[in-house]
Amino acid sequence: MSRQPCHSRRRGSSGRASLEFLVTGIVLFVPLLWGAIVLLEIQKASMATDAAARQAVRVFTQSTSLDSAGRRVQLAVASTLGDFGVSSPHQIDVECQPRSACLLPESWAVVTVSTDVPLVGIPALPVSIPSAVPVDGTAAAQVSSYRGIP
Amino acid sequence: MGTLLTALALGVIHVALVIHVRHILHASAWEGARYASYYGTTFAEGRALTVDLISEALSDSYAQAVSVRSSNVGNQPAVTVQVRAPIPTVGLWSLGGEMSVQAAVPLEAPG
Repeated sequence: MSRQPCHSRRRGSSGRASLEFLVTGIVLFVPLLWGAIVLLEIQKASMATDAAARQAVRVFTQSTSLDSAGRRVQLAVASTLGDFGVSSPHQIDVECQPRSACLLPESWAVVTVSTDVPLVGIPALPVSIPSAVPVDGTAAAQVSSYRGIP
Repeated sequence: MGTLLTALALGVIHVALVIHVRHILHASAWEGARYASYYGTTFAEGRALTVDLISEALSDSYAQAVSVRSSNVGNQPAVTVQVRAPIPTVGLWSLGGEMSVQAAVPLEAPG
């Protein structure tokens, strides 16, 4: 007779603890894991676009004709992003300063490589979050003063 | 219950740290390969840059096994830098295990 309430009390206590574990687990750890994954993906894309831009601007300023420069910049960016494991589509923007003097001695080239990092979706989340984070990297370099006119 | 949740939290942080270390190692390897791919530099200088970057960002013990070799990317001759480093266990201190990252950059060609 005196054993019965004691037994039920113990069962009730263990039920609350597992519920607490479940709720805390979901409320705390799903966002934590999600945030960690997203931040690491953004870090990777940020390092990759920065590296690609620096490699591309070097390749561009070392080239002797605009034709080969454009082709080699695309190759350099694609190989760099691939090396870093960034597979999302990217845009390359090459800007010459001054605008009319591309690849002339002492002119500047500014290369911007941008890509979108797709976010891992949480299916059950009713809030609309942006599905991708834009990341870009920019690098500038000057064409050598001793370069022959292309 | 609190202990289990704490262990879970530390586990998540640790996995993030390992991936972060991997990213750093790869970025450093790539920097070294890029530098080694230039006309005026040697493979040894590229390797030295990778070792410097890893020592500064993480610790000397992660820069013990850095190797440089020539390779191919597509059809282009290239330089590959490979880093083999311990897997961090507690913070950056490691009990064992090894991870390997490598980066390849095509050599500069005239034209």
